[in-house]
Order: sequence, then structure tokens, then C-alpha cells
Amino acid sequence: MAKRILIVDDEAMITKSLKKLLAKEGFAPTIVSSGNEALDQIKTNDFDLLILDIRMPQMDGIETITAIRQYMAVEGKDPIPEIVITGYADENKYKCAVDLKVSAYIYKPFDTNEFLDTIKKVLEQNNK
Amino acid sequence: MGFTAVSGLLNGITCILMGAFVYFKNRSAEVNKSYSLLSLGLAVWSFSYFFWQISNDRQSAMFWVRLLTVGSILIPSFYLNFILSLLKLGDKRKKIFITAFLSSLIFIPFCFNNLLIRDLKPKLGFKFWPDAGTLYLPFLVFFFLCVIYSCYLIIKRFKKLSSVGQNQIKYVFIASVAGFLGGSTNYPLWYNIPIPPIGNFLVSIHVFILAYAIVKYRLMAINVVITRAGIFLAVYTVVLGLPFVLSTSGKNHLVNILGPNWWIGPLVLMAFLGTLGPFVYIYLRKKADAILLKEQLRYQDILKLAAVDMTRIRNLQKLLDFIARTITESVCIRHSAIYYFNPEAKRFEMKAGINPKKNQPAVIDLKNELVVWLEKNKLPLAYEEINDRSGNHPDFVILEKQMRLLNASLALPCILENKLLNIIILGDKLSGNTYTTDDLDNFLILAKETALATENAQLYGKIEEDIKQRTKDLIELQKQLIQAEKLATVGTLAGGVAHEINNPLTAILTNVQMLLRSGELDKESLEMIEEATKRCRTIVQKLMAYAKKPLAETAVFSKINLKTIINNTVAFLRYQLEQDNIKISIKAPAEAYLVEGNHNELEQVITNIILNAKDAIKQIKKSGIIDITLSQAEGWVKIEIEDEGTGIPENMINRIFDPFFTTKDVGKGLGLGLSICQSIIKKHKGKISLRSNINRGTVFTVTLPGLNNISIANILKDGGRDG
Repeated sequence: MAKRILIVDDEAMITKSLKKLLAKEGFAPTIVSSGNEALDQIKTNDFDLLILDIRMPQMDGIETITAIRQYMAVEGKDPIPEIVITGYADENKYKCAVDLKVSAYIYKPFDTNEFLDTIKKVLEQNNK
Repeated sequence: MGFTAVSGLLNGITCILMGAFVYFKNRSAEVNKSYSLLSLGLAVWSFSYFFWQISNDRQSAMFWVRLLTVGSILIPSFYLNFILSLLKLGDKRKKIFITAFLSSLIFIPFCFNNLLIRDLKPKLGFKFWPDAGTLYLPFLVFFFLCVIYSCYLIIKRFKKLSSVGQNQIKYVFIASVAGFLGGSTNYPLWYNIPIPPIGNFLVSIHVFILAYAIVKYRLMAINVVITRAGIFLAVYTVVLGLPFVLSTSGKNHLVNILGPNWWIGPLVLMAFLGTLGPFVYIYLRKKADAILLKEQLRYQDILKLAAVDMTRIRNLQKLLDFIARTITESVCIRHSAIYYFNPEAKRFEMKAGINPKKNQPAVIDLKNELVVWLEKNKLPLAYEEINDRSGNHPDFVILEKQMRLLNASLALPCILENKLLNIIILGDKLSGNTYTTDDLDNFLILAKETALATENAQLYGKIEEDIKQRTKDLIELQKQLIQAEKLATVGTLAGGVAHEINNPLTAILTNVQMLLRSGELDKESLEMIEEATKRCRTIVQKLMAYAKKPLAETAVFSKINLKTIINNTVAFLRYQLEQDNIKISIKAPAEAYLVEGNHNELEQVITNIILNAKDAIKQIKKSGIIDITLSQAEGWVKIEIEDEGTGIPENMINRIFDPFFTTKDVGKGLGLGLSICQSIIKKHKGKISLRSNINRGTVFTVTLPGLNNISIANILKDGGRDG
């Protein structure tokens, strides 16, 4: 069964590009453009991996991760691994992501192979 | 006893007193010894004169006349000897003196026969007056030859002396002429020429002045000496003379009145006049001093005031110039120089001077004998004084040489706590007068005040230098901090641009790599690449629009449309503001809002205020709005930037534009942004102000003179702040 990946980014050209890429690689990507939409998706669907942009309006990546984890904990569900996409200028946000102990970080603009390798690694680790 | 007897007595007393005084002043000096010898000769002549005048019998009178003639024979050679010593010609002209002295000895034996003194006769009211013998005329020729030759030596030497020396010799010459002429008024009557010896009293004045010429330096100005001596003689001639006249000429009247106790009258008169005499002398002397010393008192007062004024001068060079000028002008001296001790170079350097001579040395070494002497003795040194003493003291020869090299008539040490800080060199007084004891006392006080003022100036100089250096360091630090602030702002802006451009770059890279992997030309991917590339272009264009430099130099003012600046800035910042959930709106109904200004600087102000507004909103809420309003009225253009952020407390509003003042957490800002904004707006002849409410927001208002309102801009001087 294809792994279900939720992509959260307010930038449409990124989410479209990533959806296309991941679909070609045999994943089942779902794209949303905000943290609130992500939380709604989590409540209604199951996912194997979250890929979130750290810098988003309204609810940024950190707040979205925190909210999702809280929900999963309350619901007694297993946590979902997270990969955070961050720009080089987001140092403060990056530090928050480190503190949250997310599974991986990727800097924009990223190499596609590297991106795919990171996804595979995180999914393998989560299976263990 | 008549006036002549009294004059003889006075002359004799004067000669003895002055002779002893000068001798014991410096027994080893040739000039002192020769003067004392002259005084002795004059004393013999004077006392003999007195006793002769009061003699009642011919035999006594003849005895005293012979003795006074011995004195008058010795006087010319002794006088010649004195002049040779005074002019320091004793060694060269020894033969001349010996010849004169031996010649005079030839005449002495003839005093005791009638070849010099033929007889005594009553003449012109005098009971016993000599008739000249055969040899008397040759004696008189010898007498006057000696005197004339002495005067010739004085005249010849005159030009080689210093101006002070010339002044002294001038008075010696006048006194000599007056003394000898005065004394010579005795001679006509020897030849039955009916001229009374009225000039006799001039001998005493002659003696006084000659004494001064030797001991001159530390006494007083020669005109003061003459005046005081004249007053003294006049007063005591009356004090002594009146009782004697009463007891002689008025004796008969007194006897008629007082009987056998007639002597009480002269005695009482003498007691009365004797008591009154000193007071009259002091009173007349004070009156004379006030006139004669008027000039000296004038400049001594000026120097006393200068001593107070100089402590207010903090600049060392100005202080030394002031002192040199004050002394030179008030005391009326030819030139002056002030040597200041340079502690680094360890030598004295000439720092100030008025009319310095061409050969005036620029430096004095620490080991210079004059410096050593001044440091040790801590007293002024006068050239004339050491010049007199250099003949018998080798140290003074060296000091004299050093003083000459420095063109110094007087050297003053300025000493504070045993440290010699300055040496003041003074030239001759223009009047030719010597530096008196009073002068030296006043100069010494001035020198001490100079030392104190010098130390003060040194201290202030050091403090001023420290302050200048620290100010320079602070300005440099401020520049660095402003640069750091600018870089921080640039960093923030760059971060926003980087983030904005990263997104389309990510889309490009992802799609390109997808196409490369698949080997197919996917239309959707190509369209995404195109869109992302265009997005990059837009971002770069926004960046260029924001960072645009005018064609001219960045610091130059030019015509600017504030609406364009605001639009460009907002376009540039909009993306990152939206990332922080901040919306920004612009209300600028007019087409243009023109001002005279610097593009980059005004952009910096708008950027800074907008970023501050964003931070203020983020402190209390997740999202917010920043409103920018442009308006213009009465020649002014106004920009209002309003946020709905945390606001600024009332007690901080007055400090909000202070450098390094910040309401942000530590590490979140240097606190220079608004300070820089205020400086920029002030430079644009505008005003920046704010009003704020806690938790409701802040409105920053920037007012700039419109393009056609330069006249108002010129009147407006400062930016301000409102609460």
C-alpha cells in the first residue's frame, strides 16, 4: 500500500510540485495550504508522514506540529513522523524545530534525490 | 657755624657711613675697596673742612686747612682708581693709577709750607680762608686732569656697556661732574675771586650716587636714590642747621631773652626738629616715591592682576603668550622669552616670546648651569648682579656667559613643588633702569603663579586630550554601531528576500529534476518552472526597486515622490509581512507627494517604522494591520504609519528617539533605529512624532516640507517628539 504523505505549505507552486514528484515516486500525497487544514486532514484521515513548511501565515509549521501531536496524544494514536522544510533565514524557527525533535529538516531549495532519500529513511525508521 | 661748616660735617658723616657700608658689603671686590678709599679721602677732606670752618683761632684753622688740602690732593687719584675699578679697567691701567698716585704724593709735603697754602685771611664773611700758594695752580691742574681723564674713560666705555650699565654710568658721570664742580666752588676764593662755596653740599650727593653705582642692583632706581638722598639732606640740614644758626647768629637775642640759659632755646628747637624730622622725611619720601615710582607701581599692579587672570587660562600656549605679552608690555622691556619644560624631551623649549632676538636659543638643556642654579636657589638671577661678581667668582663667569647667550637681563624660575616648570627670560627695561628689589619680589610672586597656572593648563590639556580621544572613540563606536544597525536591518530584509525567493527556486529545482529523472517533457512541470522563474524575476525587480540608488551620489538631495518610496517599500516588505500575518494598507489619494530628500534615507525611515510596527503587533497578537496614510496640506507632506500593536508606555515616549533606547528584549535590537530615523528627518528639515496607547497601537507621524516649501524648511530647525 502506498505511503500516505500530508504536505503542508502555503506556497501553491511548492505543494503542486511536491505532489507531482511524490505521486511519481509511488507515494499518496495530500496537499493542504495551512496548519488548520492539516489538522482537519489528520482528524479525518491517517497519514504515514507529514511534510510541513515551517513558515506559514496564521499557524506556522511549529504550531501545526504541536497541535497535531497534542491531538494524536489525546486520541491515543501513534505519532506521525514529521519532516520540516525550512529556509536558511529561518534560524529561530529551525531552533524550535530542533527542540521539537522532528524527524528531519530540509533546506529550501532542496535537491530532489536528497528529499526522496530523507522521506525513505524517515519512513523506514518509523516502521522499526 | 655757618652753612659751609654744616655741609662739611654732613659730607664727612656721609663719606664715613657710605664708605663703611660699601666696604663691608663686599670686602673682596676691587670696586668696593677703591670706593672706600675714595670715601676715606673725602672724609678726611670733609671733616677737616668742618673743623676748619668752626675754628676760632688761626692756628687751628691753618692745621685743618693743611689737612683738608692733603685730602684734596689724594682725592683725584683715589677717584681715578675708583673709576678704573668700576669700569673694570684696573689691570690695564694700573700704571696710570700708580703714576697719578705718586704724582699726588709729591704735593703732600708742600701742604706744610706756603707753597700750597700761602696764608689765611678773612674773605666773604669767612674768618680764615686760604690764599693759594705758588704750587696750588699746578695742583689744581693735576686735580682736574685726573677728573677729566676719569670722565674720558667713562665716556669711552659707555657704548660697550649694557643699557642698564649705561644708565648707571650716566648718573655716575653726572654725579661726578656735580660733585667735583660743587666741591670746586671752594677754589675761586683761594684766588680772591668772590664766589662763595655754595656747591659744597653736592659732595654728599656725589658720594651717595657713587655708592649706589657699586651696590646698585639690589637697591632702587638711581633717580629714587638721588631724590631720597636730596630729601634726607634737605630735611636734616634744616633739623641740624636751624639750631646751629640760632645758637650762633641768634645767640645774642637768646641771651637777652633767656639769660645764661640761652642754650635751652637751640636745644629745644633741636629736640623738636629732631622728633619731627623723621616724619617729615618719611612724608616727603612717600610723596616723592609716589611720583618717581608711579611707573613701577603701575606695572606692579598690572602684574598682580595678571597673576589672578592667568589661573583662568586653560590652554598652555595661550597662557605662556599671555604672560610674555603682559610682562613685556607692562614693564616696558625690550624682549622676553618663556622656556617651558618638555617632560618627554627632558629639556626647556622656548614656547613664547615677545621681540625675541635672532640668536635666541630655541632650547635650554637640563644640565645648563643657569638651569642648575635656578633649580637650586629658586630665586631670580639678574645679569648685572653676576656681571659685577663674575670677576671674583668662577661660577658667576659661567652664569654670566649663559645669561648673555640667552639675552637675559633677568631670569625668573617658575617652580612648583620643587619642580622647575618654566624659565622666564626678560631683557633690559626700555628706560634703562635696573630691576629693583620690589621688581624682583613681584616677579617672584608672578613666577610662582605662573608655575601654578602652567600646571593647571597642563592638567586641563591632558583632560581635554583624553576627552577628545574618548569622543573620537565614541564617535567611531557610534559609527560602528550605526553600521551594525544597518547591517542588522539589511540582514532582516535579506532574510525576507531569501525566504521569498527560495520558494520559487524550490519549485524550479524540483520540477527540473523531475523532468531529468523522467526524461519526458511534462507540460505541467514546464508551466510550473515558467511561473516560478517569473516569480523570481518579480522578486528581483521588487528588490531593485527598493534598493534603487538615484543617479547622483547617495548623499545628495533630489526631488522625490514619497508615494513611490512607500509603494516600493511596501512591495518589498509585503511578502515577509504576510508570512507574519501582517497586512499592510496604503491610503495616498494624490498622484504625487513631492519632497526634497534623499531616496535611500527616506526609504530607511519607512522600512524601520514598518518593521517596528510589525514587531509591536506580533508582541500581542498573531496577526494585524499596518495602515499607511499620506496627506499634504499648507506646504507640508505627512506620512502616518499606524499599527495595532503593544503600544509604548507614557514614561518611555520621551526617550523613544534616544540612541540605544529600546523596548525590545535584549539581543532583539540595538535601539538605534528610531534615533537614526530622527537624525534623517531632521536633516530633511522635517519632524517625526508619535502618539501611542498601551495595547491599542502607535501612530508614527513624519512631516516633511513639500517641494515648494523650502522657506518653511529653513525656519524649522529641529525634529521633535510628541506623546
